Amino acid sequence: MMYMPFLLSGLGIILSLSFDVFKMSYLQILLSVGIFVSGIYIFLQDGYLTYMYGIFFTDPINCLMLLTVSFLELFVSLYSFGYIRTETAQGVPKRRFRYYYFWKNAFILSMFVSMLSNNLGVYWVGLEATTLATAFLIAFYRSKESYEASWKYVMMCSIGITLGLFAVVLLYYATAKLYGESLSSLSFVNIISVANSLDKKLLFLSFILALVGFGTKAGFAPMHNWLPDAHSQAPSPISALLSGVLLNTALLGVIRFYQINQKAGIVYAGKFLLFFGTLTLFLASLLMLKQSEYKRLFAYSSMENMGVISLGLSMGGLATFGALIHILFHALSKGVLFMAAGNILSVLHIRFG
Amino acid sequence: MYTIVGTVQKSPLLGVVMLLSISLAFAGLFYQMLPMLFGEESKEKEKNLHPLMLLVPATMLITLLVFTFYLPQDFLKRVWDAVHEIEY
Repeated sequence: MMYMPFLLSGLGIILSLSFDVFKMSYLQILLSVGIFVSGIYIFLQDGYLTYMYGIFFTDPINCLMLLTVSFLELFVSLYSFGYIRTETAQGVPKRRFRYYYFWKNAFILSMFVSMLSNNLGVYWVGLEATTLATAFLIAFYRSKESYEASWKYVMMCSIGITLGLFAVVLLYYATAKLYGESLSSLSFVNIISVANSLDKKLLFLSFILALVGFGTKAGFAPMHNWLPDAHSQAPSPISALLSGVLLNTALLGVIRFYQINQKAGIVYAGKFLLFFGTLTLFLASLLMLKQSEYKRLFAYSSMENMGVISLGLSMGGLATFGALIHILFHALSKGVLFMAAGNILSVLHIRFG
Repeated sequence: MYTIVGTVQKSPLLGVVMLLSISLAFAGLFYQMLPMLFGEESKEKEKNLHPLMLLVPATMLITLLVFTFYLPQDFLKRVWDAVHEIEY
């Protein structure tokens, strides 16, 4: 059962190349139901579970994220069924949807790889793969604006993720002194168990790099410029996934480095997360006032919610509990909003309020 | 709500900043969306959407409402486990 999310999304990639898009939309619903059931099963398992030679693991944090992804993915698959039929009836060429499910499943698979990985190097590879898969989905309508949004997304997120790579390399350098030059040095479970005895300066520096690097992909201010463009140009079901779960997957990287710093007793890590969270929340709220394009407005709202979650995580206690519940609620509510925006766009063909 | 209460408990000043920002965000949402709902364009509606495009957001909205008033104990227990993982 632990392998099911990977197997089913991988199967979706293969099937999307073999079947017509209309037939694939039926199969996709079946696959998504399977992913949803396995998501609930994994969520209800207690404690740590490592598998596939320790490369992947489940803990309460990534289980919550997995549940959120599988839940939203099921709704997005059902919505996509109608979306593809409506769009083709309105004149969008059917051949344009040929690779829709291919890239969507690649996106979902890379998110599963990223969020369930125990190895921080594998997490980084998974997150980079989400950038590649979603770049094609953002440029889906092949307009000048969508190409520009996709280009900006790839450039900004690649720079961010490169900083994230430096964070992973620094952490490896710190842990290699204990575990040697092996895969064990990148294992999150291993790192967290010896966090107290690691070089604190290196840990803090790696956290700052992860905060800025993975934070770029999570939509933290002031590295958020790609987010409104990408979310407004992507097809609406994809915007729902980008906003509802991709931002959380990137945030998970920040949370992992934050956990290591917390365990090592580095108090400044929380203060930096608090600063970026508050800045993001405040800036997004101000920017929302002058957005007249509704999909951009929702994109800024996603950014604001990332600020709320980060702020809650840095405060601890009840606020952290609220922030974690907010991850699921934000995914669902933003899913509703982007799908409703897709309906308005399909009927009225206007982007401005 | 939990995030706001938790933040106010730890730092009232930050709680005020948070509440102000959220209020501002909601003001922005309503300010920009209301003309859209009552504007001229809404009269041009055509009924050419696939039924699932209406059914899915409606189901999600109902799910959200249900979750607002009731969350299973197992779910809350797992979320608290996650909080302890982060806080140590």
